Amino acid sequence: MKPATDSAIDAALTRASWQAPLFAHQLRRSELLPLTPTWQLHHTQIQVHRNQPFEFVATAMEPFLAFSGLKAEFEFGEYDDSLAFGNVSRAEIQVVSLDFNRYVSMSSSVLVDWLIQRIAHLRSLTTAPILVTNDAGLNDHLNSTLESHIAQLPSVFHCDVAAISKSLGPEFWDERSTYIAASKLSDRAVLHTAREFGLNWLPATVLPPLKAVAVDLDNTLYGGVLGEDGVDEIAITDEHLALLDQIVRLHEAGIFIAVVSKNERDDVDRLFASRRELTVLRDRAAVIAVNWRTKAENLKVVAETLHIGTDAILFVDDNAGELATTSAAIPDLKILHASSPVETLRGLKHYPGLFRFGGSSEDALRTADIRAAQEREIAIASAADTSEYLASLNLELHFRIDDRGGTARMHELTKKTNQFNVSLRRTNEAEIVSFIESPTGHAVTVALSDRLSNSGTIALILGSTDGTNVVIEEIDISCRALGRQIEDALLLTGIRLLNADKDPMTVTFRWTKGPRNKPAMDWLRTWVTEFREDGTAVMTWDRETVEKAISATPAELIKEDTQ
Amino acid sequence: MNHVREKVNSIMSAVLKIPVENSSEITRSETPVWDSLKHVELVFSLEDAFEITFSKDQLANLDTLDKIVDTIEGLKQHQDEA
Repeated sequence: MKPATDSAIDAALTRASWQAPLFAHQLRRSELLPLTPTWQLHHTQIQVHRNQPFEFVATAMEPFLAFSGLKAEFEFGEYDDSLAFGNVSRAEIQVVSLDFNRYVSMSSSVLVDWLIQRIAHLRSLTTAPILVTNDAGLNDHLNSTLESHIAQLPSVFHCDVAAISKSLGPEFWDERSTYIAASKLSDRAVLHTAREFGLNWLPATVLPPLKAVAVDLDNTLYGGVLGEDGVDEIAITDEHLALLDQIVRLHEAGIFIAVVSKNERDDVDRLFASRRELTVLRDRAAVIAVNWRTKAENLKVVAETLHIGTDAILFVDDNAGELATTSAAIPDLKILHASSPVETLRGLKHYPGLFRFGGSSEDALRTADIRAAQEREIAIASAADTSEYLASLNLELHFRIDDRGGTARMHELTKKTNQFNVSLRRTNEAEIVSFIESPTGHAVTVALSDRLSNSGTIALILGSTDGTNVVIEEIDISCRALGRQIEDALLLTGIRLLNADKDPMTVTFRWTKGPRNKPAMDWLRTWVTEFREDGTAVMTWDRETVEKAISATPAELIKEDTQ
Repeated sequence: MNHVREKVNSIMSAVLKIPVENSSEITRSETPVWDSLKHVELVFSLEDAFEITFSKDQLANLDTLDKIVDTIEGLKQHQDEA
């Protein structure tokens, strides 16, 4: 990795200085107004369909979006209670924001049915992600019904403005706003809604997610210094417990937790054994890097162990000097200054990239799978015969074709996979559904398990066929599945399944060389001789060679029925 | 220049993204960038910065720099006397 330039370090430290005003309990325009980014921003276009003003929220989003690395250009539709969607543009994101008070003549269930029908219609007009805000007027029945219906629609996301309304109480509304803004939202409501959009909802839609939070210990997760105060004297306050709860929530959402601390390992082991409050951390940490190496060195080990980039890690530390030094050594690392447990908790609720719309059943598998992977790697390294060891794992690959219930996980794979990703296409869920529903398109997903762990669905092959020739748009294999020599069996069997379980004549792969997808490109090179400038590469399918490669893989191949 | 006017100038300049000279009078009718969107941002920024609350009548009449300064000075004086 290139060393950080002064401007990169400046940007990281400037960003860190923005934390206090952006994550504050009480947002203040006077503190947000002067914030000007010194880093590059990704421009995104957002089309807003509405029956109420949204411009105030859009303008207020600017500093929050900038912190997330985004700058938005908004297209505002006319005020339209009927949601006719007469002019849907090619904007990257669609937002639907309604004042539900304008539909008082409709019962909640009729209103939700109508709204879902309109959103489904919008879905048919665009494959862009759609964000729908719920009723800030706290109609819980309407909101919970809306949320459960929205969850059935691909790439449609439920934005919980009602939660903001609940937390602000009567201060969410300001009758004075009606006179100057034709809106009843108070300034606090506007700022808090802008924050959710700018730091949580929009980043979750367009940016790569953060995959790990690496936390320091001393004066971060407890008060005091373990090596000086001892196990019994460090202070774990209610605020620290609330912070630990948030870390547990992040883990449950599928984010890896790592501990990175300069301490004696024995002291930390004694700490975890005797302070029960910290058991939740020990049991959930995928990596515990406690030693006297630099934080940067340890964070690189965390990245390597978890098979993720350092740009997908948020490092949390109370020591500003450590943050600066580490940022200089790892310029793409995200940093959160843990100035107090309350501030840190707010940071972990708002840091862009941590928020997830909904969870998946795969989330719970991740940490256990990583621990199993560590065990496997040690065993492979020490095995006298690697093939024999791999055969002893009892690997199983389960193949499903066009699994309509699995499109959310497919999208997770296209969005998150960096190393074994051939085209870097980042197909979204709506596009995946559209692909599956087309006459020639198919999606093959593969789940992996062995005697050490169940890795869940770890691969996606998205492609089309005319019965003879196959075109592959996406190949994604989770990094957790790598290292067991299954790629050939997985991909070649999957491609054949995509072609109605028959050998194709040719396979055309769409490819893009990226900064981290060398494993995918290396695999492709073993099967393809020509990489064309138009971003395609063609393989002539030789049955004998393919069969030999598949049978060399130490895995049982199981085709599941998804009909 | 008094402190209130200086602070209002600074906030107005930051919100409207125009230079606001110490001695100038800015009116909403003659300042194209001072539209309804900017007006909302401006009044809420002023409320936050000065820790005051404008009444709805006052909000409707804050259409010149001088009126804004006068209104804020009145509110602050009222606060000090309370």
